[in-house]
Amino acid sequence: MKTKIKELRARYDLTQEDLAKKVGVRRETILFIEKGEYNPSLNLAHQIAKTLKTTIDQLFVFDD
Amino acid sequence: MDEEARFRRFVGIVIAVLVAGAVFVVLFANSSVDNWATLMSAAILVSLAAIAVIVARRKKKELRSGIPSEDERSTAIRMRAGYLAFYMSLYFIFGMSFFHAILEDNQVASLPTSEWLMIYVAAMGSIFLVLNAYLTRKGVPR
Repeated sequence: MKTKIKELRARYDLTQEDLAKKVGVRRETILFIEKGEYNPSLNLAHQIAKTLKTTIDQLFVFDD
Repeated sequence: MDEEARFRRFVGIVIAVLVAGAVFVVLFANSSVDNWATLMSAAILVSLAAIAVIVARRKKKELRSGIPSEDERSTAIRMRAGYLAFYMSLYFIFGMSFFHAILEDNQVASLPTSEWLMIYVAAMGSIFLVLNAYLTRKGVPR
């Protein structure tokens, strides 16, 4: 799984820590999601998508 | 080496260190030092106190920064570490019971059951802490 979180964070000038605070998780969680090494819950994915003004399907890209 | 193989190697090292530690304790118990149980208890208490201080300082820092100390990933890691620690502890206890039986068969002075239990509990706690720290850094293997 690939994500566009890093790209969108840069667009809105947000650090990993800023995004983590906005969605209520630890910075490491954002880091591992960005690296594709942690699959967030649907609720967290929705929170991140909402914060980055996008949708879940645009934020997460599955290689299938 | 892939992530799974690295993780298996790490688990092997943890078990080896724990077994080596327990063997050391048994050998120490057979030496001329007769207050080893007091020394061990003191060492465990000091270790627990040190861990508590470190955890409390970290939590305080996190509370000040506004970042939660727990989230869904840390909860998932803790559950995974607990699950793995439980199974690793079973193997550890089984291995050490076997070692204990060998000592008794050879009439080598061993530890009383209460002290073996203390070692098992300390080992279970240590396995959990080490796994939790490892998975927090490396992520949960898929």
